[in-house]
Amino acid sequence: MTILSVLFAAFLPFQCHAAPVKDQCVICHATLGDSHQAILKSFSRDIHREVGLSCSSCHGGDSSSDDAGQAMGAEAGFVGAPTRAETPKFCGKCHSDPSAMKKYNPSLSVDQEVKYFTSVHGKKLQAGDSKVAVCTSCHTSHSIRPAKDPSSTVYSKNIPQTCGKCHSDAKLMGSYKLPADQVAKYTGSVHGKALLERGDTAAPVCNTCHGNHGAVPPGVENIGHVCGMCHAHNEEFFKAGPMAKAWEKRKFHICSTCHNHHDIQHPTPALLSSDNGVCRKCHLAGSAQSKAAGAMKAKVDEIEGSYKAAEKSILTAEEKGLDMAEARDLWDSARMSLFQAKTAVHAFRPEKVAEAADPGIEATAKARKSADEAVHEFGQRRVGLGIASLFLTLLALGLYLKVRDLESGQG
Amino acid sequence: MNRRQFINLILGGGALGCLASAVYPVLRYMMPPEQVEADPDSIKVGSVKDFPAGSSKIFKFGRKPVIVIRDLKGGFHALNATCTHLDCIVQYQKENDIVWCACHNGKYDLSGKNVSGPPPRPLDRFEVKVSGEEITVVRTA
Repeated sequence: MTILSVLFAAFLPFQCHAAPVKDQCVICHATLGDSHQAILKSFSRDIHREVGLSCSSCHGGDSSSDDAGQAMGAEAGFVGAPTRAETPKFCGKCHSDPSAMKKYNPSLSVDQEVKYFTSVHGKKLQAGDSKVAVCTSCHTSHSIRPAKDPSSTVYSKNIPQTCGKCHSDAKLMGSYKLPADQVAKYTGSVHGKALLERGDTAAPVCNTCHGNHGAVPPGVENIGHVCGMCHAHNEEFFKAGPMAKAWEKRKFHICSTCHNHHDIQHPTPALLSSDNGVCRKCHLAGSAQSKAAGAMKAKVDEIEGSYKAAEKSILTAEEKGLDMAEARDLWDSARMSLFQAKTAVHAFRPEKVAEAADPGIEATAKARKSADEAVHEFGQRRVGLGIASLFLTLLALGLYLKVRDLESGQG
Repeated sequence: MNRRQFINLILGGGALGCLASAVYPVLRYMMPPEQVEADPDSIKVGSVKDFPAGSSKIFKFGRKPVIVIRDLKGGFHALNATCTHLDCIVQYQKENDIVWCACHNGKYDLSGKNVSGPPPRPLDRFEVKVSGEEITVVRTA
């Protein structure tokens, strides 16, 4: 068994802190069954292992001694595996120590532990609730990878799943009187689709809005800033517009009142509908505000409709192998107008929406005309080819008959 | 119309039709087609006095928009104006001396490097040549 364990340790790509010749932790624990071997295997790819740390770097003890009592004795500084309540401070031994972190990653911040204890998770942990997330809940214990590594549990595309381990657990969330549908809602949202279907890793994920180590629900005052990190113009227009004060007075969440939060959908003109749009939550049908919403909807409908129609015409032309480069350019410029018109809605002034939309409507009309003309010409060419073929057939037939006629005349 | 006349009519009509079918494409070929924008290696964008310090203009470089910027210190920069995030058109923000995308608040420095927000990669750079008063934007190798 000893020979086997030495061989196992030799094949593990494992180097210990201060580079000892052999790591007695690995040699012994490799013989203790599958669960121990799984830990050793996981740790072989852990970022801590890659920078030269070993079991004893975190757990203490003497990794050079083959005497279990000595290796894992209090005198050797052995601390063993921390409880969940002990975990933040356990990791914080190094991660909150600037001089320790400088040796391995000087650019990594050392405020994770401090932030953690400002989070809902951290506060509950301090209050004695050991069910809440601690460092290892998100980062794992022995398979920790940098956040930019796609195999990391905290890589942006993996974060919904990581947070969902707890936040999609209805029983666990029920004990906190919290819903467990946030991840499901996010997955179907415009942001979730951008991240998970299109692979746009710039799309916001749980920690973009809630923070990571200091995770808290964004408050009423903060949510506009959170969305405004990316949707800067929307925030700017809204705050300069007539609704800002009303929102503040009623303590409405700036963005989520109309767009929801986890299940934010791609905004359509239907949001402005005078029948069942979001404006109708407060404004009566027929009111000046409702009419303004209707006017904005009409303009956004117009540019969206002309944009889609132009795209259809361009695609039709391109399917026939026609070069639509110029029409595509016009269509691209209209896309900006469409975007700007939708953004301008947040100013709640129909004229501002029209100002943004009109150049795009003009561009899409030109693009559509160009594509339709190209398709028309393509059709004309086919008709021309048909007519030319008909004349050729007629000529051949005439020649055939003429030859026969001449031959019969000679006979 | 007797049989011979009918044959001559078919023959003559067919010959005329074939001739027209051959001549028409030739005539269409000789007519100048609608101007198709070439893919140039350089474009002239105006003179130095058209660009006061802290200003920018967008030009078409072939099919692609290029933003030409004169920074606050007087230096010229030319970058592909299409944001690398979702293809919106970027703009120069004089106050912060950066290139900014209004769609999702993406920011680039004047060398085109993405420095903040969602853009995943830098903007392509173009070379700016100032010859006397004339400014030319040149595609980099």
